[in-house]
Amino acid sequence: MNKKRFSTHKSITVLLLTIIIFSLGIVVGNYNTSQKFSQVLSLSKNLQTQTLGAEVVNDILEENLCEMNNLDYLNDDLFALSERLGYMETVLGSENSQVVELKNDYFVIEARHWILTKRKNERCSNGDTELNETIVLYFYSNEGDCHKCKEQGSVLVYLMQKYKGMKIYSFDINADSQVVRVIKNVYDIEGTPGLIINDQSYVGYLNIEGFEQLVENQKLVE
Amino acid sequence: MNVGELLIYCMTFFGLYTSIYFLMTIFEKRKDLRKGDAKMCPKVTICVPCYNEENTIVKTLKSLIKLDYDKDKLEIIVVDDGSTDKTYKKAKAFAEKHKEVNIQIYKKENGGKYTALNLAIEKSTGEFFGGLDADSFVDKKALRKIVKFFEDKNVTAVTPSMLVDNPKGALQRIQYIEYLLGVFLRKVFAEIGSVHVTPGPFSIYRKSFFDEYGGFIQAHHTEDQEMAMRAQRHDKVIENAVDAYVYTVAPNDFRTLYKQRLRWYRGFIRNVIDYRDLFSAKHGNLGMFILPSSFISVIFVIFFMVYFIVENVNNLVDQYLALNAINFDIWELLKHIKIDIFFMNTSAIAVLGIISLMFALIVILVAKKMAKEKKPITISYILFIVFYWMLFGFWWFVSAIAALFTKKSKWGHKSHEI
Repeated sequence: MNKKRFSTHKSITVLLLTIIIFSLGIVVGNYNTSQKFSQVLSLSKNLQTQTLGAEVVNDILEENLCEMNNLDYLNDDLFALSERLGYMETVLGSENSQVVELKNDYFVIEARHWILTKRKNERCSNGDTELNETIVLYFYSNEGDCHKCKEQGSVLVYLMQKYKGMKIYSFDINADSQVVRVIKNVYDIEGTPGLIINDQSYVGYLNIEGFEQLVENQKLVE
Repeated sequence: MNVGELLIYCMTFFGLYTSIYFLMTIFEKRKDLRKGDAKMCPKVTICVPCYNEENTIVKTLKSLIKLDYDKDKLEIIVVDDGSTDKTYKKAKAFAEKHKEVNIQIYKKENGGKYTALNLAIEKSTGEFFGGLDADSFVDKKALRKIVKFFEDKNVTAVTPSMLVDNPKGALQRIQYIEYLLGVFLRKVFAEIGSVHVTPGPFSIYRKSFFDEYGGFIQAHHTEDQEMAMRAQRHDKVIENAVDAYVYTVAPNDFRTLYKQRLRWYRGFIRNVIDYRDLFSAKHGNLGMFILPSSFISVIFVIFFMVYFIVENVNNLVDQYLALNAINFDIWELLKHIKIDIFFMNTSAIAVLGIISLMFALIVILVAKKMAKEKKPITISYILFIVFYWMLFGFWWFVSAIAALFTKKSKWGHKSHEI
């Protein structure tokens, strides 16, 4: 038999085998991703219910707000959800419709949580704004037009870990979400990175020292 | 899906296809991989072309006279191609000492390796002819294993299995595994009639082939590639004796290795351009599968390397800026780090990556078995699989540019590169 002869039969057999193995890899990979996605989805649903619950409890027993500790637990869950959502965004792409939908849900949960925390702080704290009671809303952009966003994100995560109790709510400035639009307009956030620190707006990059100084100044004004 | 992802998917598919094809080829021929020793003992001429090889010439000649082959059927021709060291003297002294073997020594003006080989062809009286670089050594059984294939009158040339001699250090160890893979590929190519390189060290030819089609030519400093392609153009059969081992000294510094690869790959591209008519259905597997896939794999590796570098440089810059923003207070971050299986990459690309790594490992294991390599698998195998492609991509990238944009070789025209 001439060894040089191109064997169509063999080529097709190998092609079929390759397609089977390749498809198997894709199916397993996509299954993993969808499993992760449903995990994120259930976390999001859970948070939604709990936030709603917290709101209802607050409405019924207004004076109990200061004793409501579950807001802090919710905050941890919120952070976990944001990390997972960020990961899903890198895996599936920011244009993925499921990711977009989940992100919009997430912004609503964040906003609700923010309002509750703000109310609690107003009513229950001694009036001074401490760094570990600071509430920050952070507007970022993933569209490549915000060169300082990576650094700003890094600074905020660092501060959150340094000052336990500090709350950071992040919003994609380009999100097609009514909640994001309203907050943006009310607080005059016109660019990224944009920050609302204890109700005071700040547009532009803020480093660690600048951030700490800003909060200290707020204290003096009060 | 972005361009990078598409590239990775295509590359994985292509890599899987070729691995499966090659493994299947070996599997089909598994009972017939080794042919055993030759019974016949025709006269063989071995040429040792040398240029300043005083350190290794004696060891090379010693390995030749130890060959398990009738001494009166062995003709050794040493051609000193204008060495400026003691190569000639040492070879001469060796021949004086071993009169029982027919060793002839010629000295000529420096003209390049192919001219030394041609002189030996002219002087040779053997029915078969082969070269052995003065930095390589043959296993005692090698010639008998090779000659066995010539019992088939249609066989024009037979290649050996090349291994790295006594590897030390990271670079030689990497090449050691690379040569093991070479053992596998050479056999696969021979089994599908697609050998397109007959390596300088100990590839043996039927001498009548030179009478009919001429001797070696300069061929962009890769006369061994040109000779194989010439044989393929004339539809000749090139076999591989997988258990005919030849050990070669691999470069142990990056510069020498880089120069060697530049010469090989640049030569390959230029020779393929010269022999572009091989890309045709007329040449079967070589023209329809092996040569096209060599080119495709090179293009993939180059593109992937560029993509990988750009992507990772961006990531590294981002990471640096992020850390710089927190004054490199990594400790504060580490204190809160949690290991979470969720963030382990299990996407389709990652799964395909793992499958590809498994296939790479299977190929290496098969190659190891074929080369009868007994040493255990070490960490260098894993490092090889993970990092080798980068080195490979880099060589090809530079070689492609050199082949397409430089007119003449920069390296000593007439020297004998390893």
